[in-house]
Amino acid sequence: MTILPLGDQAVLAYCADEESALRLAAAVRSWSDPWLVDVVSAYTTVAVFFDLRLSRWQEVADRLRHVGAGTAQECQEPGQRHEIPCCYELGPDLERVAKTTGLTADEVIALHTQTEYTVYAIGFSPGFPYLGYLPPPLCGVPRLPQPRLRVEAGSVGLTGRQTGIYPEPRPGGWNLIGRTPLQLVDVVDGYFPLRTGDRVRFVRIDEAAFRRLLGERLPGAPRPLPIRGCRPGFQTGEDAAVERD
Amino acid sequence: MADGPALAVQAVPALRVLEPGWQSLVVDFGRPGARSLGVPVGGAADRHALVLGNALVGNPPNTTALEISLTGPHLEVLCPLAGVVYGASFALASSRQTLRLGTTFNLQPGERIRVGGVASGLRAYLCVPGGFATPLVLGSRSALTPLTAGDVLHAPPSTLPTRFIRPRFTWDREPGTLRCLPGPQADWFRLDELHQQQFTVTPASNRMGLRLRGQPLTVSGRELVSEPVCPGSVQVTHEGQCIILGVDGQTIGGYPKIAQVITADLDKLGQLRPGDALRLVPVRHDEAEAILRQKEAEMSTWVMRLRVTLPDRHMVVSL
Repeated sequence: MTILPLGDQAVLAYCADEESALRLAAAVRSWSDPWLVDVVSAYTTVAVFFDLRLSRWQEVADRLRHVGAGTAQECQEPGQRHEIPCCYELGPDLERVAKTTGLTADEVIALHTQTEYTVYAIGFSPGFPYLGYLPPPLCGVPRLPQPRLRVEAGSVGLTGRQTGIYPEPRPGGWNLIGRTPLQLVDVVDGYFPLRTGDRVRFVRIDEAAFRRLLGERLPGAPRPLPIRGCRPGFQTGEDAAVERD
Repeated sequence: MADGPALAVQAVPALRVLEPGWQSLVVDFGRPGARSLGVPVGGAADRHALVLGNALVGNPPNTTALEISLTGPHLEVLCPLAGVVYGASFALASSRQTLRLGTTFNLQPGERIRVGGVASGLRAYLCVPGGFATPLVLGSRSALTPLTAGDVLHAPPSTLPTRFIRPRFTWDREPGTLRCLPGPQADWFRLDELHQQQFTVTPASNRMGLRLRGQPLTVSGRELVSEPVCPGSVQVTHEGQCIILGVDGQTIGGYPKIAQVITADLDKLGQLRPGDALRLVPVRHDEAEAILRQKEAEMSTWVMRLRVTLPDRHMVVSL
């Protein structure tokens, strides 16, 4: 594991592989240290954001080095499993993907639904899951030459080795091969059902089922949010005293 | 869910937005703990100005205020309301009185105030006692979208004695100098190319990031798998140009990061505007930590001074 600074209030850990990064992130998230602000993992890296008033870069780095060695044994597999319905008839780029990969549309759909993906990162927009990795025959489709100005919520796209879901309408350049009717993010409501480390499988549905399920949420109880106390830079001890009044 | 900053008590309709200005946004310290959900930190782009503005009106540092950028809003006052505009030197006008930047004022119902343009710097904060009442989302009351005409801001009615400060700080003497640590991919580049030139902020800059124009840096052509980034990350595009991520910057990114602006200088980022010149100057890690401690010590001195000189009971009018 390589550890580097991401500025003076974050430690970036480069792990051997994606699974080690997910385990390290899960281990650090379980800490209750007051200096811990946030933990973000993406593929093989984990960033630990800390409060410089309560710890120092070197201390956090040492702690990560220490735990990094032991996480493989200590930590169980993180994450939840989800089945996400997807209507492939609503994917405007399905034919383009079939043509690029030399497969039929049905073969693309079969390959896409046969694979269990891992959420390796969340980013680009709130709740956007980067799912990997595609089976080799589906890999290597480049982004669209011109990104769309608006991709509808629920659109399922792919490019390179990744597939993903646009949870909110955005501009986007991925090849859209289908659409899920489920709502997968509600920022105001704090609804973020997908987290890094979760496993996702797509289940093919027809357009009637799409209409029936439109706007529904994933089954299961709401998940607790990973948010800690709001303690960003710039609150001195004296400021904190003001807050107590 | 963490407890959010205190909600303004007895908030009533306080200000009606006649014209919203270029980008007026209710902010506090944002959502630094929601990054793993793909949600940017957000909040005030110049936190030090927010903290001092809030201290002037007797608020805790993390109280919501209206962030004003480049061209301010035109507002109609709906209740007796104290406030201050603190930050870059915007032109202020009222239908009833002379308003001064950094000096508290008392507004009356029917009064109209206009925050105009700004000759240097980019942002200031309209702070009112108790803050603006906005919904708590992911631990913060920062709004997700800027004001639009017709919006009504809610706050408790208030009055204040006149107070002002003209503080001097050591950390912001050179607003165009951003001190940096090496980024995670610093060894993909020649750092002298970064540190020995002057950059210009381009118009394609906003709260998400500052796009700089300069002599293109030599790029290695190596590809990076997306990894976590944060405000202050200096990313290099394939063309060798730099983007410094701002408070609304994305949470992960695939551009290599040549440098990282130190925390103490992030507030300067919030005041840089298109056309401004800037330099990225290297510091050691222990210097970055010491500069932040010094900045916080100076800030806390002013915050404490303001706190002890304001009797709390004078702040909020009960109707």
